Amino acid sequence: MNAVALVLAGLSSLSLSLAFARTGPFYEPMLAALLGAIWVLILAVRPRMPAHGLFLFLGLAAAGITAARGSTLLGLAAATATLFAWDAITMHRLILDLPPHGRHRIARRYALQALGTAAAAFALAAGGLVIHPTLGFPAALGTALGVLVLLAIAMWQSARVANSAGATASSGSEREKADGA
Amino acid sequence: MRNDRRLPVGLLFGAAFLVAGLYGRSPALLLLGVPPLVYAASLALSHAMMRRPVLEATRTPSMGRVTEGDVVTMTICVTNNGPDVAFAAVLDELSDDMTLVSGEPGYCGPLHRSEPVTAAYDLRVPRGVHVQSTLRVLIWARAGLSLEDYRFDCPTYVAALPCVEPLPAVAIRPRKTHTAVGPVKARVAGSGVEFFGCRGYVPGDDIRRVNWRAYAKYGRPFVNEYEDERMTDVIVVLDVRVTAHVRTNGESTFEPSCRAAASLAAHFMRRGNRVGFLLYGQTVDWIEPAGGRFHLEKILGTIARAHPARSYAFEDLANLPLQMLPSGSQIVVVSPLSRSGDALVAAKLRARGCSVLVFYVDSLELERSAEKPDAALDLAVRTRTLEMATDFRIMESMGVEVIPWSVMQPLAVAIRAAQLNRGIERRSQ
Repeated sequence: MNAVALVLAGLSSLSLSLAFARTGPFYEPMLAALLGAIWVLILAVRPRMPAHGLFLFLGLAAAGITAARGSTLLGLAAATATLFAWDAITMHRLILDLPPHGRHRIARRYALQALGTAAAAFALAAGGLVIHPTLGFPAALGTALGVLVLLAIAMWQSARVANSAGATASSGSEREKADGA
Repeated sequence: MRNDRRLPVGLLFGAAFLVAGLYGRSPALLLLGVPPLVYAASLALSHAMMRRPVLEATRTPSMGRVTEGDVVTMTICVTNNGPDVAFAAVLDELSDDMTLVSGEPGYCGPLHRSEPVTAAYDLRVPRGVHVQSTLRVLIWARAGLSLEDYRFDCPTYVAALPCVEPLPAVAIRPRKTHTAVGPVKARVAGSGVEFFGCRGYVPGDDIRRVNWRAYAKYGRPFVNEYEDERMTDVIVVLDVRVTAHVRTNGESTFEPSCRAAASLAAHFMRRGNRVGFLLYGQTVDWIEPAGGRFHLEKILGTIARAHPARSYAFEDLANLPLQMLPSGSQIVVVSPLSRSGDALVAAKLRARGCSVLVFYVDSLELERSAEKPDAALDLAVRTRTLEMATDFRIMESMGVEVIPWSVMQPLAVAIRAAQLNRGIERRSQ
């Protein structure tokens, strides 16, 4: 998972540097590359560090700036890569204490699913980007709202399942206590 | 559950880009909101599609009470009474002081309905009472990025008692003894084996005790008397003040002190005495003198729970609660006596009629081994040695017996060396 995070963080840094090189003064791509390199270094050396949230914020903000300046595709790539790099490192921290064989199995599973979701998210946004010059602003708005509706349905389902699940776990000690009572 | 942090992050950034796009009528910013929203939607969907198991988890140690350094086998068992789970990870959280010897403290794989999954692993436990509580089970969604983190509270206690070393006989001379037979010379005539004196024969005396030489010399019969051997109260005092003990390069005087106190308590009890115990440092942990295996276990359990502690009320050894200690009993103190007034406590104990034996925990060699040798270190060592000699002289002048013990060597060696020195002193007198 750390490898996934490293690759995605590198990709995000590269996209932002290219985007800034196209639209901004000379120091902006250098700054983007430097911050990206720092993040990659932290990901590699200190995966448990809580600073990754800050880099997520910086990456998405920079992606927003590049998109607003006209490098929309690069901004999209950077935003997607930053988001999923952060997700990968969050999950990596969670499984660090697991036995190695289990960790490898989870990492393989996760890498496939995360890269699939990231590709789908990027493709959807890029599709909106492709159709928006022909249909204009409403096409972009429609794409975003469509995803929002999908999200609303998913969250409603999620909440419904969570409410119906109730208490599903008990420990041995709790059971023993109950038996004793 | 992890979705609760990741989902809001996706939502927040997605909403921020949407609002910025709508406000600026920028299709680029609107589309930039799509990846975070898709991310949040995928998390919510996979969470909704997840099949929730009904789990029961237990953790069982192979032994609840062991000796320090022993290996304990922990067995964790997770049973799923709900629908099958394709992939789950069971993870047992170890406390820092436990060392994993073999096995894995977890399991990764499927959790089928009504098929218990067990995992066993071996731990080496140091002295102390170890509590393992949380057992984690991570369940991955069949599809998507969601996962559920179940935490079971399964408190498991393992008490690792201190090691008890075999010791040579430690000579004690308490002022008071009980009436029951024991190993301590009672300073009264009785049925012991050591010669005590002669007295005139009275009818009923055992004829085998008649001292025939005295009879021949004085013309009237005398009988030999032997010193009675009785049981006494021995109170072992363990000093756990953090200010008294030394810690360098991971080595400490504390653990050897605990082992020494445990060995002494076991030694005096096995020889037939009643043993009490006082843990002095954080609070006063007092165990009344008694005998028997269960009582020894109680003392060892108290030593197992001991840790270096700081308390302003018990910063000086002078605050030792003397009222608790039975007058006339034998007090055995295991302490580094680090503070200047500590040696004078022996005077108070003597004034209460107690016999005092101090095992002086000497950290000099331990500290010396951790430093590079130079002139300043030599000077410091000589100064400390002089201070120790002064303390010993003060205590010996009060009638306190002191056995210096370097923590780098076994306690038995220090006791034998002290016995040897005492023999040489007697011969020279």
